[in-house]
Amino acid sequence: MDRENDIDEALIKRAGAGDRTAAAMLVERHTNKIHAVCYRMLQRREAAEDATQETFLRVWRHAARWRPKGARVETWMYRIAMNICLDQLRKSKREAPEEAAPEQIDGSPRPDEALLIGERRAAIDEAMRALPPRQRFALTLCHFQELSNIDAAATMNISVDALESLLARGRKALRERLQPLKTTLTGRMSDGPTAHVN
Amino acid sequence: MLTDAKTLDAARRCFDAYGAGRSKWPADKQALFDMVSDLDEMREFRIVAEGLDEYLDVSAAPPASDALKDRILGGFPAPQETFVSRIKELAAAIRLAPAGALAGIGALGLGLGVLTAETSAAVTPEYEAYAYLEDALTPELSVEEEGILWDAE
Repeated sequence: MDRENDIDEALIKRAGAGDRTAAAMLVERHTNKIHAVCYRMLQRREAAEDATQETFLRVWRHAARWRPKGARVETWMYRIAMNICLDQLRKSKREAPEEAAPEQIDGSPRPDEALLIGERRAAIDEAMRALPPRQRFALTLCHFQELSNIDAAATMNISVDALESLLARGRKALRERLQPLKTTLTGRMSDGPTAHVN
Repeated sequence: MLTDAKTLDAARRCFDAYGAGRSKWPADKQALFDMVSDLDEMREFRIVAEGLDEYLDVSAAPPASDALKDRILGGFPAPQETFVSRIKELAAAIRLAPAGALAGIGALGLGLGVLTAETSAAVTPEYEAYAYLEDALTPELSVEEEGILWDAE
């Protein structure tokens, strides 16, 4: 059925029994994905690396007791990463509230053609950083990691409807923040393709 | 082509949540995408979604470094540190105990056999003398006694 997950389950079992080779294979299969999620959530490379490492430490700690219970290994790992990132964001907000305030994107008119890829990336990163963490996480899982809506909802422990609401609100907020940079982002935003979402 | 309001609303929700890429839509909604994506009513929703997708698609997270992978693997507990593995080792030891005892007994028997064989092979003068005297000192069985032993066998 789900060959990738079957492989992950076998590797988790072996890693739980102390098999270092299985652990190395899990690292090879999942580090990039977990790191990408942590990076998009925390937006700092060092913090993302620490969160990724902590995710795997927890995986090692619980590997011997891991039981599928209908969940995919990858979903479980993403959930661990999410919890670590949310803890980290809460902690950094308490310690340095000013860091949580996103920088404003320069709204001066510039033609799209003049924007370099790097600038676009910086703009989207800033806009993502301004999103509430759960909206950011939903977008990260669905758009960037390309999880199915069912897996993403399971990772976040919410319903698919709730996930879609987070996604719609997140995309709307991104469009609003990026609006000065691209006129096509505006569309009918104000009168509401997302009006049904609270 | 007429599409009812409920279907259009479902499609708008998908454009809002998942964007304008068919592959980003849930598998069970991709037929809906095919049905509505070219409709005039959906054009503006699709363009708005495409605009944001363009931005999202240039965003890239840096790949994990090899050093990070090494650090992660460095945190993997050595087998002797794994509690469960220690339990399993203990269980295996218990399971193997009878086999171990049997092997021990076997080894002991082999050892004794070797010792005995060496004793027999290394015939000393004292042994030869004792053997000679033993034969001389052992009383000969009477015919009746032999008969009794024979019957007993």
